[in-house]
Amino acid sequence: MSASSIAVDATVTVRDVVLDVEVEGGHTVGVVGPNGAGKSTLLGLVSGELRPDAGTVRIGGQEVAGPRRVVPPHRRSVGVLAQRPLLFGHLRVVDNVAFGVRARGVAKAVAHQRAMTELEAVGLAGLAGRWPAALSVGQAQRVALARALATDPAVLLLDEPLAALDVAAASSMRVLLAERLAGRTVLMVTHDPLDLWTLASSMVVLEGGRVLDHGSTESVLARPASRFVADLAGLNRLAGVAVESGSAVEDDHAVHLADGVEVTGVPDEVAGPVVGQEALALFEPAAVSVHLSAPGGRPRNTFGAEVTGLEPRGALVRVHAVLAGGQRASADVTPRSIGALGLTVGTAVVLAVKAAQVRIVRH
Amino acid sequence: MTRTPLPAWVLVAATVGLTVVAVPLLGLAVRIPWADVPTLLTSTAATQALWLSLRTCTLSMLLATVLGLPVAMLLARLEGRRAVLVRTLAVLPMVLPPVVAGLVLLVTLGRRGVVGQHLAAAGIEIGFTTAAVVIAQTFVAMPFFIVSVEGALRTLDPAYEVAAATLGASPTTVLRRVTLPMVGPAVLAGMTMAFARSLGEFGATLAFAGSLQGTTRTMPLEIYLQRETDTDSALALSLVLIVLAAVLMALPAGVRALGSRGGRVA
Repeated sequence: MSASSIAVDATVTVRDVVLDVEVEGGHTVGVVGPNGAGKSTLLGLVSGELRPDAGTVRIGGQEVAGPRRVVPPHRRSVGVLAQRPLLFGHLRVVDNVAFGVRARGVAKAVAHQRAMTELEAVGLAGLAGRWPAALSVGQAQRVALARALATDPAVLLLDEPLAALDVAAASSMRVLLAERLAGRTVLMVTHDPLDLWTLASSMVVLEGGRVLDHGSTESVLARPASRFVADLAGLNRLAGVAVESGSAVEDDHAVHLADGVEVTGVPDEVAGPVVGQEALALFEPAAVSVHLSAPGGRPRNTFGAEVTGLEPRGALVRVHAVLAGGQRASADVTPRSIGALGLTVGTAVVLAVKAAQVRIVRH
Repeated sequence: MTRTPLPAWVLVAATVGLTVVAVPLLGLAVRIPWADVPTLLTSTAATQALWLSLRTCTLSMLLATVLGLPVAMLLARLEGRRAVLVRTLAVLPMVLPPVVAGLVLLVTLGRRGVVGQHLAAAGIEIGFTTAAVVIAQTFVAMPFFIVSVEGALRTLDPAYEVAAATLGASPTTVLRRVTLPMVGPAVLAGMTMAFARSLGEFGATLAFAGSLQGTTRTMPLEIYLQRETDTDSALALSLVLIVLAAVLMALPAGVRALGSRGGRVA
């Protein structure tokens, strides 16, 4: 199995994108970021759809784009699996999978054989003779994966491959991807933290056309470099300046928010705060309780806030709120307490979270 | 999805519209000497005109396809002022009066034409030959092909072509195995339009190729010639053209219906 490294160090001027991203051979790297962060640009630079205005793109140590020459997409050995399966409607399933092999000049019978092997690997050998229109979206995406892998690409680009699938199809596709991606070099754009945890070993965070953070999935999500990453990690993230805690509890630290509120919490073991420098208070929405007036009991952090939205999440409702200083936080509460408190958009509330459930990290 | 019903007046107006087309056709059906049609169509002049039309129209259709396809592909990729410029040039013959088309061909390719005089010097005569018929028909029919295919190429989702390229397909392979099959129905529609337009071509052919029996006198020319002296013969030939035109117009839709029944639409 081929597993080349990827090294992008390139600028795309019109999109104001300057990226420096490396993927070790045989690893899967998750790419996250808000819309317009440069995720598609990164994939386009590797696939060859986009040319860098400056810098280079290397696959397996070989320069495929640089100041002197640009290798066109069809000579790059880069497989792509996009959000849509993009199967060719005029070709049967097996001919779709054989397409890339045939395009490389392999004899029809051999290509057919290879396609059948790939279809078996995704569990769809029985559908080889079907037309793409006769497949479910989930089946079509499996065929698209088989088609991308049939050419034995040096690297694989996944662009939200599960986004168009329903929950059941996405979870079985995720299992299949975990199996089929092992040992390959993969760049995977996703919006789903589950993909990051189950498929990627490390991740890159893009924002505003730059690399904001990179590292192991665990470390990047544990200390979110931006609000976007905090949302992805399912964490509330309040930014401020670290101060010594006034609390009686030992080892407590506090983050002083711009509007004068203090958040007390436990310092992070790896990246604890430095007094006088920027720091973040991180806590889960499930740890936050919602009140109409300040509750008693210590040690607790309380913030005055205004409800900005209610979002059903399974058996709970996520209450989105904006704090007095403009920072955002959310709380997971039962629908029953929404009713009991009479919460709606615009309600003034007090959010409370125990100090023990807040982690303070350096920013 | 169910649609809201059309207002009754639309149905009435549509009936009037269709009547405008149907009544003259009925008029022909009533007037035509049905019993004599086989005899009329087997006269030498009629069969010669019929075969000449079928031969030249097939050639014109193929030429319009071979020459029009690259133009459509180029046009589909152009934007802004250049697109307007190229499109205007490419479709001009479609709206040009046919006799003007014939005239410009004559003064260019005729024996004393800008290009024709050199060809004549080299021993090649085009004016008033069957080749002239084919050129005249191709000239006026090609825009129909270009317009049909360009529209399909423009609405084609480029993601499929990009996907093919990442699978290792060279630009030529992408064109051959993805782009053209995907716009296949439009190519077919364009070819039938070009054939149909060639079949009806009159003015340009008369001006550039003349009306020599067996050489340049196609069906429309024969019909025009016979219409006073042998009306029955002209009517029988008209019937053939009407049937051919109807078949040509129904062909692409019929092929599409067959295709979608096989579930081949992506």
